[in-house]
Amino acid sequence: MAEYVLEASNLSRIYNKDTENAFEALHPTEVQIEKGDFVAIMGPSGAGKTTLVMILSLLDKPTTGRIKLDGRPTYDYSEKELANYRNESLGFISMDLILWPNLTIEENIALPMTIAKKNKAEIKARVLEVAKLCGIEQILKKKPDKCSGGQRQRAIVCRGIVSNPKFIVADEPTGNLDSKNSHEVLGLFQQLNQQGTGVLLVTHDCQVASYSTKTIYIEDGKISKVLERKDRSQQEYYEELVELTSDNIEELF
Amino acid sequence: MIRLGLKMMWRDKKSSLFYLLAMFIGILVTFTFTTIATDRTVTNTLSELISGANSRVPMNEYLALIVVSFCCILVFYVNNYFILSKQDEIAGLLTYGATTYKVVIYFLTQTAFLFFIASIPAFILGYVSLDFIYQWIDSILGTSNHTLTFQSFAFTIILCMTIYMYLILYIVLHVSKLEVKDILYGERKSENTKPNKFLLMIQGLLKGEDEKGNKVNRNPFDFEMADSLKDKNLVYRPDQGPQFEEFMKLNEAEKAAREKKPKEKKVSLGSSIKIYSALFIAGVVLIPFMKSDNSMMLAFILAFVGIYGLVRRGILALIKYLKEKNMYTDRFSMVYLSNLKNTINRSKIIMILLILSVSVVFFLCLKYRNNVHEMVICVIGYLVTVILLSVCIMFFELIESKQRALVYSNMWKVGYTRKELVTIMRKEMILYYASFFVLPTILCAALSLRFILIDTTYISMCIGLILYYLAVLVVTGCIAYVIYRQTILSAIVEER
Repeated sequence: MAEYVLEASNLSRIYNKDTENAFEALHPTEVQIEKGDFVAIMGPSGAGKTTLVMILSLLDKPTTGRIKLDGRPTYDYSEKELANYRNESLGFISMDLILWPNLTIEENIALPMTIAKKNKAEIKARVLEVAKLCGIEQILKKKPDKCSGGQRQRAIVCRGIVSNPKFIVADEPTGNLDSKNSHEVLGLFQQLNQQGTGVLLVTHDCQVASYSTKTIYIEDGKISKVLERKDRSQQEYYEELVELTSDNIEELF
Repeated sequence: MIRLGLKMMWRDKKSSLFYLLAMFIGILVTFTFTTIATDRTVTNTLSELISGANSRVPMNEYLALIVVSFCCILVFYVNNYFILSKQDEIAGLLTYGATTYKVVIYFLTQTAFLFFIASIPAFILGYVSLDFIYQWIDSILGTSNHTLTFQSFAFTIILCMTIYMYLILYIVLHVSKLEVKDILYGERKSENTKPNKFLLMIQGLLKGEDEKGNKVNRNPFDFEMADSLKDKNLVYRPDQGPQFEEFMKLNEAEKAAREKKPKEKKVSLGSSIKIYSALFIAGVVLIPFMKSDNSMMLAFILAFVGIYGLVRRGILALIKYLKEKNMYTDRFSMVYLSNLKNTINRSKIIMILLILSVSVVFFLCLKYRNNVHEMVICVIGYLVTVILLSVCIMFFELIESKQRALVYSNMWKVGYTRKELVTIMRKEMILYYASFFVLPTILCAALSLRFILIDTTYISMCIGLILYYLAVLVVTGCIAYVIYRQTILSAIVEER
């Protein structure tokens, strides 16, 4: 039997419920993520990708449905346990979650460990380790406004992985990066995934999604297709993803 | 979390300094006024003097209460500003595993530390300045032997603790209500908006249904328009109907003339605004000519009801009217009028509070002009009230500016130059502060006229008080403008 890190059933999200502006951003949806999965969520703008990710990251509550973390429903967790889960097991990476301008890059990356009250030496060592992994060890003492967009984005990635999470949720992590830097960041995710870290990636780019092992395609708040990489090469998988998205483009004409 | 809180407080010097300053002013003014209000020598002397004038109003105590209330309002506003400037920090903390309790501790550490830091110099300065204030009071009231009682210290500390309790409550409620997704994606703010029952009822009735969707036999709004609205079969056909037939009978020149005639959209201010304006004008006109204080009070209430309506709806309707008039013709007005409308809409309460308190204390200053002792207290009250409320407005504007950074940065992206954005900000700020100046000044002018008609020597005092109000608004407005400009421009620089 498959070991699920995260299991969501019948998840739906209705914004402005019980008002005349009620909007169902996410229709009842099932999502299962196994240990070590690398899942990409794709879909056009407004399809409900971010809504789904916010719910799966426990940053938003679904209108219906339930989420199980390591086989245990989230309603069983106390607020403290959920916060601990976010701190230790979940690495959230979003470019909207900006770096704090008054802290150095090092202090920003260390934030999840500072919250977890880890000791200073451990924090320093771990921050340096992830900074080296992302190639930003030379800017650790700088403030975010003194760094380039790409460096800031890598720092955000470092902050997401510093606490060695079981599971990474990344919302458009390569949005502002050039192709070389994007490739490096995605390579890093792949490397972490091979070491057993689960990755959930939101993107609208087929090239980015081709790094995953499974792609969930969302349209109008519903999962319309699920594509698994299986034994295909990245190139073949990419071509299939392009075909998947082009189906939708064809519907336009 | 405590260490992180202190570190961030130190690093974010600008926000911390504002908070510190507001707390310093709040504690200083509260301590000074409560000390004077609880001073037995002053109270006894004033009671004797006022009793002699057939009045038993403990003016200094009431005034202290009013001023202390305004201090509290000031601290609350600054606290809101402080918390709002730290939304990204809250989002980061909650996302990376801090519980609500930890976030509250993070803020309370900062608040408590700033409170403590502010209270020491505030008490020292208050204690020192009391010497000068007492000398001044002695020269007016002829009193001496003032003793600083423990009562005023205790009252100030109790008040500070009460405010601190409020701040704890506010922070707890704010953090527990906050959704990370709202901070990150800044949308769906109306998540918990309850449906407008009245609107639903009207919509239902127009459709021939009650608010629960049941069919009703009789529609109370069953007039012609309602019928046409609920009948979905009624479709406007431009090539049919009597108007079309009439049009076809015209000759070519008449047809061309009709077609060319543009349909002008009627922009009106609305009848309720006219009624409120009429009430305000009637009150303002009647105030100077009412013989007794009671009838003057009625005229004042009339004017105030008018002002209340104008602030609640009139100014907004006027801005909407101006906006529609200049739509698409002025590339600035649409933006600054929209911003202004939002800001005024949110600052209605403070505007009404300011108009009421400034005009009432202004009236008291004039009423007691011939009685030096009471007048001094009223003038001090006026000066402090104006300063405290102006600082509140300033902080309110700063809170707004924090929320506007994204709008301005997007405007810059779509082609507005920095110079144009600065012009928009300046115009918005001038109009915002003008709205705070015009209405109370008209009311104060009417009150002044009442006294000037009796004795022309009141003119200089009236002008002095109004000019003081203007000066404080100008100074706080300039500070708010500079910070507003800096906040927006730095957001644009970050985008670059």
